[in-house]
Amino acid sequence: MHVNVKLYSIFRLEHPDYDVEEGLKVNLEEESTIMDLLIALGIEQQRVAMVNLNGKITRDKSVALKEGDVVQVFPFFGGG
Amino acid sequence: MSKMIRVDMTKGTVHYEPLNQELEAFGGRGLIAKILNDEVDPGCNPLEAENKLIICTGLLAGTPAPTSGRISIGSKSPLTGTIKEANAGGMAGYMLSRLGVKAIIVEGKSTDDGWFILKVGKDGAVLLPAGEYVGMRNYDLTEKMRTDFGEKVGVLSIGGAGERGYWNSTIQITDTRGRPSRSAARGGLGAVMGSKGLKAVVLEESGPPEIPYHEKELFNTANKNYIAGIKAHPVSGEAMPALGTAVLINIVNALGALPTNNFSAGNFGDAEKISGENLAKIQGERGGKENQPCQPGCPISCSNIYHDENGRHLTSGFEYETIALNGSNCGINDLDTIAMIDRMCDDFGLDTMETGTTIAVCMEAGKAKFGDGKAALGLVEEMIEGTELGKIMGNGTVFAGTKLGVKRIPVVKGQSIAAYDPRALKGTGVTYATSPMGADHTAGNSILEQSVTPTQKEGQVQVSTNLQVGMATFDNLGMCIFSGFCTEDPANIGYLLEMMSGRYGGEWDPDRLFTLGIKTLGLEKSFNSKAGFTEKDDALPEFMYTEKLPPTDSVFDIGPEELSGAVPFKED
Repeated sequence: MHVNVKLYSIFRLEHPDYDVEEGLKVNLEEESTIMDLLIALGIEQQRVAMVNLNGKITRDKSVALKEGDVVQVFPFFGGG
Repeated sequence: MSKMIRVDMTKGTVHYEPLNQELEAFGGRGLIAKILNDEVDPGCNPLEAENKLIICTGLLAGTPAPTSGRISIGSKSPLTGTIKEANAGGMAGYMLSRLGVKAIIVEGKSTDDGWFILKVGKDGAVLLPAGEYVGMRNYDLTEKMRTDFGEKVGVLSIGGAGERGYWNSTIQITDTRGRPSRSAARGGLGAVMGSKGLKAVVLEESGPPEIPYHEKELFNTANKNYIAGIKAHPVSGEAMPALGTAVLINIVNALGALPTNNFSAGNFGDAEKISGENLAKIQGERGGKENQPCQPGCPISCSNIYHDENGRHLTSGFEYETIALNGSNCGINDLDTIAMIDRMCDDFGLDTMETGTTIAVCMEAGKAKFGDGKAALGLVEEMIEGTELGKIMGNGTVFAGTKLGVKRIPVVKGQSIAAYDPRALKGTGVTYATSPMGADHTAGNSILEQSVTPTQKEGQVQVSTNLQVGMATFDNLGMCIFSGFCTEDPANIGYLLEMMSGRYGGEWDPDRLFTLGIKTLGLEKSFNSKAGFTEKDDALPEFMYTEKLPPTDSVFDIGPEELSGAVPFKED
């Protein structure tokens, strides 16, 4: 299955060929979880503060993904 | 013993005096709260002689402690009627501490509408006639000051907004390149300085300060470890150096808390265009810069330099709050337009945050359309020119909104809400409601808090209280709150305690450290109470309790009884 990944902050800087409009299309095995996706992206899970799955915030990385999901991945943040 | 300078603008006198032991125990925001409680009638008119303006440094000023050069400025605020402390980076705190001065108290009011400059140097402090500086904007003024007083001066100044007495007026502070891009922005402190007839304070270069360490080795070792802690933290060591505070645009948008069209939505379709990531990309192409220190020696360096499309400097210190409140909150998706507003505000001495929310209420009143960047620039120009509408806007969001008949006015205690909609970030909402400062993004922002879901009701009062104590403590140290992210690791708190022992002696434990924040909040609440504020004032604007915020459809549902449990501190 394919999911569409949007990267933010330093994760985007670490992927210099990242396309803002398109995001990343990632091919995963069926029933893969957010954790599996992070492994496929090479992003260590302890660096991820928050994931937005189809418009909803989640911090549970064991959630299973399905075809066409949009996954936004955020590192830790703060400031103001 | 530290020194302070007392400037009597009525008599035109300046003299040095020692701080007593009680005042020595405080720094920055705490010192301001103590002096205002001791010396100013909370019921006073903020723009008359009886109010005082206090400019001071923190407890670790003058040491190599990272980010310890913050300058705190405080007074009774003309915007809110409450006590006010606004702190900023830049050169002022660093230079004042090198001059061996912990505080400047400006009191009285110059007679015959005369304007003055206070010059502080190694050999003393003196009031000089402001002459041709009167009427100058901050960029021209600071340039002329470097010519007249030397390239290395640090400057605090007011622009036209402060001279004219706008309740939305700042005191601008020069940055490491001499530009007036840092700002003690909130609460109209520029008008207080202007009401006294003080146009600027110029700080002359002097040698390194003589700091009486109790145990210098202990301080130095702990300080090195603390700096390593800041650099090892993913936010202060990685995200902020790379992308600055503007990194928050996409994040707060994803949380559904990005103010959009006068706080009518939490999600902006064009967030990506005004994001920190896009800002870094554009500035990379134009020769602007990320990763700039706003004060000497900062290990985070989250400031920036913004170039226009011709590659020329347009503004510096272009931050998240400015971008969100003048961008998405006005429906504006063009960074160059927002950067121009930032430049105009720094130059004329307007708080960019209060300005953004004021423009948005004007848009809601039909004075311009949401998304119309040219019209927004025109509204700022009206404030600068001093047209009838401009003068109304110059007194801030609640004044303008009320005059124009707007019902949805996003303020608490007269100060406009920062760039996090509290319905989708409820811990910050508790802080907005209960901070003695009014709605404030530096008083205890729960965007930092990863343990509580932002839209849940439970636990937010405690989250806000803990954060407010932590922030008020850092505001006593005179350190930037961004240098405190690493204190989530207790080892780093340990280093901070050793730094305090090394500097001041005695046993320091977390209780003693955070008592600084608790005492400060107590003193501030005491001042506000005597100024007539009650628990009824600890509330968000009505529409935020009833109007659902898309896309989370959340309302603010933490009632007065629960809010009364936040910051339960009292000092007499």
